[in-house]
Amino acid sequence: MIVYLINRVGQSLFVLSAMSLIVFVGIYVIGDPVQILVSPEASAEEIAQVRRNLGLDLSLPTQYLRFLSGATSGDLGSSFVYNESAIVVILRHFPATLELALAAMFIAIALGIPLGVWAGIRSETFSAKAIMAASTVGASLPTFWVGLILIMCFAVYLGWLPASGRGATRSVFGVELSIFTRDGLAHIILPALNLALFKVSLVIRLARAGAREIVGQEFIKFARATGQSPARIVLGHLLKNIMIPIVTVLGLEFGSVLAFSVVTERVFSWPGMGNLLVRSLFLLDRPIVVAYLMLTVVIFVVINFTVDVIYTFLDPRIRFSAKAG
Amino acid sequence: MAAKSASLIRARRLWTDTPFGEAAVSFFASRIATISFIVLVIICLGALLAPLIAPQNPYDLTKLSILDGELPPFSVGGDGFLFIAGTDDQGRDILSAILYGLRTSLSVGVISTSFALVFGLTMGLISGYFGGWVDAVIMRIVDLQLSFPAILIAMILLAVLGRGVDKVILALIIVQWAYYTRTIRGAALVERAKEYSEAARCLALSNARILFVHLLPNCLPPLIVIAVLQIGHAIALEAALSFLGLGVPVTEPSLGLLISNGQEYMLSGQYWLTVFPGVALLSTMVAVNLVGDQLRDVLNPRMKA
Amino acid sequence: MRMVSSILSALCFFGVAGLHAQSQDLKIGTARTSTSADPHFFLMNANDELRHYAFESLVDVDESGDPKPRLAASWKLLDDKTWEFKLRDGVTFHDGRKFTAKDVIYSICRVRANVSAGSFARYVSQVAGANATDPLTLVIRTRAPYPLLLPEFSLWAIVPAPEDVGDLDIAVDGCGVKSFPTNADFDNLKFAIGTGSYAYTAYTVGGAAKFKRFDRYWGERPAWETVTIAPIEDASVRTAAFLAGDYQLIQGPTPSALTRIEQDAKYKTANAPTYDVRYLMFDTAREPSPQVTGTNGRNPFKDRRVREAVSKALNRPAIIERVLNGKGVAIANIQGPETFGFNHALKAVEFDIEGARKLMASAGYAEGFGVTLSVQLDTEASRVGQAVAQMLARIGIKVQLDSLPTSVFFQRRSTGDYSLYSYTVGARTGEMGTSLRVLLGTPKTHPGFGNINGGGYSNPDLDRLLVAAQAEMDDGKRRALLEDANRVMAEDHALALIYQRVDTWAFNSTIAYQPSISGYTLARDARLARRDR
Repeated sequence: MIVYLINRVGQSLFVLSAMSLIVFVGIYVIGDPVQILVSPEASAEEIAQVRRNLGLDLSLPTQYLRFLSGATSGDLGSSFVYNESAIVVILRHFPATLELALAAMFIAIALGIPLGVWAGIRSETFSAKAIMAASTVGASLPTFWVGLILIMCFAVYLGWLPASGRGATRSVFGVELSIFTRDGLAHIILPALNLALFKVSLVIRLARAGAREIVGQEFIKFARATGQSPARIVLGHLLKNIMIPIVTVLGLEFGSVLAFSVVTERVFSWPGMGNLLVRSLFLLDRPIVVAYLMLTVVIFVVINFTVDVIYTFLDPRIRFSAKAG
Repeated sequence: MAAKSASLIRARRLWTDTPFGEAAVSFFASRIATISFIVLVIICLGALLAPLIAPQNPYDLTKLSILDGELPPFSVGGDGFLFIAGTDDQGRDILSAILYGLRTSLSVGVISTSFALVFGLTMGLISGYFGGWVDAVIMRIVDLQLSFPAILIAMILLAVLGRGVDKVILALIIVQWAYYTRTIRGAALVERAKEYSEAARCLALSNARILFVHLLPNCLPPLIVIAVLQIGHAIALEAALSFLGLGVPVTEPSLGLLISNGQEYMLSGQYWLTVFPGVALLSTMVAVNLVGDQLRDVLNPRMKA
Repeated sequence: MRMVSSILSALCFFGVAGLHAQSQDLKIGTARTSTSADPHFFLMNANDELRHYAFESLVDVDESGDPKPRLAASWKLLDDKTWEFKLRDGVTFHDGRKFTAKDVIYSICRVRANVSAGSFARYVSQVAGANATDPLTLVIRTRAPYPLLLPEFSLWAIVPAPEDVGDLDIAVDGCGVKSFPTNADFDNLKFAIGTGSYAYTAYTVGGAAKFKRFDRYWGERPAWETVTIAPIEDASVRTAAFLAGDYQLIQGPTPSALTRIEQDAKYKTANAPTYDVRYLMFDTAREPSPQVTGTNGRNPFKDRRVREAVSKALNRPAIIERVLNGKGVAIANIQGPETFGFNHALKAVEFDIEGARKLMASAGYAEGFGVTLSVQLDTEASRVGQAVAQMLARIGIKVQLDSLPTSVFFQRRSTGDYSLYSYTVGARTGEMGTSLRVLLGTPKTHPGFGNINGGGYSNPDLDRLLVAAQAEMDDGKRRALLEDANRVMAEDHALALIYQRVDTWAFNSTIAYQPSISGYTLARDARLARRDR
């Protein structure tokens, strides 16, 4: 276990430093952030001054070494645009993205499992086929297009929900969250639905496959034979058995939900990390982009690790040694 | 006559007896799959023949006139040209733009996926077969790649590379190859342990020969399935990137860019700018996904049950 | 198909049904995302928009480019380099402190100490000395005679000096202040205190800002109890949010939706010209020019006739009507008529395709040539760029359009990669000289000139006029010099000016909104409409 852990951490550190180097060089190649940041009226001396202040007058290797030495002590540099620690700026945007991703996951499970199970146990009915067809179409729609359609329908046409932005927040353990206010909930529904779209299809497929497999198995037949009600069978036995793969897959997918929220955040003007990343990319705010990627790697490593650990608890047959290679 | 039809039957029998024929027969057993296959063929033909069948070359700015801008479907333009699906803000014929956009979207999807497949496959085979430090190096790179969501890598890459169809393709190859490498390496490891591989090695066949003649055919079917589905993903990813302003250039819009350009016109009721390209993209995606699903069922014996 | 449009028009109608006029609360959707609540931190429109809510400057610039009193009630020149400002009495900051001359000096010091990329420091760089002769009298000395002092003083905000701050000496680096509050101190609202008519109640970096009415404001009582101003960058999303009733007032509704909005009795729109003028810039410096093809190494843009031909080939009315949905004005000066030094005698170049072809032929380019037109990657620039490409094709210039992300666009402009590019210019000083200098001045011979002169344009006549205007303290003479500079620019076709942008706002009929030239969406310009029904 400890060997595995060390391996994992070592690998992640390698990934982190390689990625930071690539991004560092990449953004250096794109252009000069100073050109974008300074006013058109700025003189050559002013521009030189700004460059010095941001440390951009140094050679690229020196800049990178500076960054590395800062990074080892947890300092990923200061944003060129916000003049604050990049990690602080990102973490300020993090709760908005996190709650959006969690809400999307919740919707994916709440919609996907009942529909999938139904499609699995009644696989020959018309409704089951309709569900599967809808899930294929759902997975094929471009997210941003669906987002706009959602806004058109529910915000502009029906007027039920606000079209964009994040609602009022409330501080929960020091974190500003919007899902605990009425206004906040109203604001999160459409973007969360939009973000959940892909995952709903995924959950439907997983749940259907699981349900089909399990329906034929002995213990369900046995339960049915003992005269248990269908609802009880579904709830008690089926769900218990299909939840594990679904939760695992969703756990692994969580990172990609966080990443794909970029598009949804743009469509709904959601003030999250994705929006921040796109703006920073356009402004060449390198510290933010690098810190964002570092954070993503860390999140991924944590997720993968957690899933592995949960796995071993659920299924003792899986050994760490087998996964470490 | 009789002899001819008999030989025809024989020929058909022979054809269906090959593994490919068997797969084809079971593929077309599903009505939905057959329909989506036909739709896909039509779409591909439309995209391939776009320069011949499109009423206008939408990329040639000299042919456009902004005085014909934002005309509804079935309008007649200044020089008597009939715009069946209407025009966009630049006076570009939407039908032609869709055909050309389809071309861009499909070529981005197909070309990037094929290159990624070939490259990923090669890397995977090399890695799985040689093992040792080669394997270690390649797999670390793969890990590096797979620890990031595709859209993030593609965004950063395109921010660096700039806009352009070729650049989008390159970015999509880079985000996809590792996926195949991972898959093929797993398969190669399994295959390597099998008897025929051992036997081949005993016969002192060259490594390359073992790799390509013996391993490859056994790994291919699952990869093809993944590749077909991956084409759909690549098209969707390109659309998302173009929406974010990081994809193809505005003068050569893909379907994704057409939709994203047209979306603001939804509010004013000029639906044709975004609805028609949207329908085209949706049908392409659904067709690709359905064909891919059916292929998987046909080619992957494990899923058949 | 007609059904679809009628459903969509119904959408717009129902959108407002659920909305009741909340008389005391104003919700604004703006196109700009701010980076800080600190008014001295970063000079960009989004931050500047917010500055106008909570903060004030010594002076303002009015609709014709002339300075007018704000926190300074009056001023006079003691000599060419010494200004005396009489400050307004009875002004208080949001936290109750009284406004005095010391706050102004402290603000100058803080502006100077900020060395971020978007610093305002250049607007106080001319200040050589500042002292308070009494709490409400301020004397400023400049390094040289400096006519732009007042327009530049309208651009930075006054923040309160801490009570324990000692003597402030402008000559010393940092004025002897140990540490200034950081922009983060403003973002968490600890120091976001001004004299403006609205005080901050909430601020999120990259998100919404909330204000409440400042009841002890010295001027006209603000109309709204509370104001929320939220950024939504995408125009169509912003418009959808407006139609959905999320906001009562938005800046820049998507042009294509304008007709619908204007026809609906529930909504109104208002227009105001902006400082922004879109132009085509030619490479007039190099031979051969990097992105020109088919000329055997000649640079056609060095020839004034070719530049004029390009200008004549542009059908400005069509661009304004079709691409901008009417939201633009054809223009012949580098800035609009709201700017000091506007030459009314100049007329926008008329669309004349035959004349353009003749000019091309007389310059020896009857067969035309190829060129890349580089634009910044945004909707308007791309659309205008495509339209320009269409029009230039009619006189034989084959244009390859290249739309570049902002980051790359600026980089390449600074390295001089372009043969032809389009961008906008707009100086908030409300003075022609600024734009002419940075865009068309010769950087080699005149420091501070031509900072964004990406085409290498150089004209000694123009430089001479601009240098003279920069030191001319007499307003009348300076105006004449700048008008003349505009004429020189126009006659040489230094740029192909396309249009001055007009901004649009959409708002509910329950309010009345009269936008100002600033281009900012300000709550003080909005009030409750009188109910006639």
